[in-house]
Amino acid sequence: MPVEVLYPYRTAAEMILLHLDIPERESSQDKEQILPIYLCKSSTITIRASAIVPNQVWQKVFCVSEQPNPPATLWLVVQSLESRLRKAYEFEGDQQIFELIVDLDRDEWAGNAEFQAVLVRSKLNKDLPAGYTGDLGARLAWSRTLSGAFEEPVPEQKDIIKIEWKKFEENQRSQLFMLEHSAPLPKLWLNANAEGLYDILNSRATRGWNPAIAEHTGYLIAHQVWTSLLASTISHLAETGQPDGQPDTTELLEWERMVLHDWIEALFPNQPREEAFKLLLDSVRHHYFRENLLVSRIPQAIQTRLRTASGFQHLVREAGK
Amino acid sequence: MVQELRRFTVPITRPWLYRLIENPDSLPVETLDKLADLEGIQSKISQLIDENGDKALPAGQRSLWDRELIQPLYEALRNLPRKTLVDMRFWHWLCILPLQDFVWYRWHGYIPEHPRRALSEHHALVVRFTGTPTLNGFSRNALSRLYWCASTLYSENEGFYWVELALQNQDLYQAIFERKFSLYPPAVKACLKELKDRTETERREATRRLNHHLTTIVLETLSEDDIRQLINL
Repeated sequence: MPVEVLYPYRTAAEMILLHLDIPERESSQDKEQILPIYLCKSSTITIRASAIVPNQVWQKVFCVSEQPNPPATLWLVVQSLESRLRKAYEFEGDQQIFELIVDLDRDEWAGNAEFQAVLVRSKLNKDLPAGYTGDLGARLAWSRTLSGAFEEPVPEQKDIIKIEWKKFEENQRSQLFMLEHSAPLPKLWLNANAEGLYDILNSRATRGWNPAIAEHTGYLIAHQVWTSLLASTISHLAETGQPDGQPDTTELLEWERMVLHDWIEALFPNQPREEAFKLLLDSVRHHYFRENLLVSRIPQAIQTRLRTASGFQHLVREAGK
Repeated sequence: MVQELRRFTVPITRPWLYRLIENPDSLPVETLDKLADLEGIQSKISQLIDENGDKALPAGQRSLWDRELIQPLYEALRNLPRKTLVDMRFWHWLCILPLQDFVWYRWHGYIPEHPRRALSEHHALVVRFTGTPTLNGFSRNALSRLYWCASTLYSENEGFYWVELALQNQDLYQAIFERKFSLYPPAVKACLKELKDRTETERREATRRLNHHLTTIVLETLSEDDIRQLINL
């Protein structure tokens, strides 16, 4: 449905042409792209806006009596919910071609902003024929909305956990690994002080005891890590949502949601994903998740996915040689 | 005394709020490389708590604490870059760590012996410590609502007069600050001036109408007086 039918008066939707560019970076707004304002390094960001208002626009939104001297101003409207800002900057022009230089303070803006050229009625007139608006401030015509990014987009988080090596302190020297429940990602620390651990886990050998030990140790660590992360995530899920309502995964951290998405099919095998999630939420909501999920399903899911049994058989074969 | 300001590395949600209240080290914080003097705010909170004594703060008196805190809060933070002030992780840190006592007294009346139980029994309390980076989130977080009200309405000429008026009535505050037009300060002032003596029903209807006008009127091109006329249409 054309946007214009939503207005009780004549408008010219997206008939104004708006172009933005950043002189400092020689970047300009492309059709679908977001203007990368974040590439500017100066504290004041200069944006050059140019707009064209075709004759058809004036003829469409003003009645004959107002057309010789149409009471309207062209504005660049900039809105950003993330910055909590709504501002308008006045264009200068000759009724067809308009230009504007806007200086924006980098510290004022966050996230993304939307830019739109809007032709706005500048004088009240209550005596217009039907189909025309005489309201002060009325939107008469506008451009397509263009977006600008004040911050570099954050790449989509793909990893659930970060793995790093460090030398453990004296009181933890007997540990092979440590799991830290930190944000934005949990961290698995491997003990660089554990004799042989680094060499064996990084060994490229494919035969003999080393790969068998590496594989078994990997299983051992992975079992514990996933048990902890799954149990912790499910416990947190139980604390979300309204009383007597469904748990709410949006109240989890990003990595916790990723854990659930990654393991849902293993936790509820032979179920479509959507159904598996329903079963998970019901299980948590009705409080029987402790036995059902924590005691039964998590160990089964981990062993199936990591193929623990075949790891055991590999060890047995190596021992038999 | 100025202190280094921090924020959490992620926005805090309910399960993590429970843990942070019990153990502040549950999640890491990061420095903002910005300084502010929070001592004025902390002193005022301590003074209010001392004056209140051991008893719970009655519900009818809690909104007075907003008016007491607004000036020290605004003065301590007003010179921070906007990017910091629109980051909810910063407000989460302020509400959960250095200024937690204020949030408990203002929205619960006292500091509970079992905070986790209080939070799970009174779900509405959670958003006072946390909140999303939306109009609703900013207007419910205990401290960001005060700051942004002051930032919108404070002036050298009139001081905190309109700020305190807006905070006097929670319904009026939400009717204004949870709508998109609240991001344009002349619209907020126009609303307060026109609606301060009207009934709740009239206020709700007027703010709803003004929000509807946003579809056809470009508010940012109008003055405060123009908008007052629009409200009265």
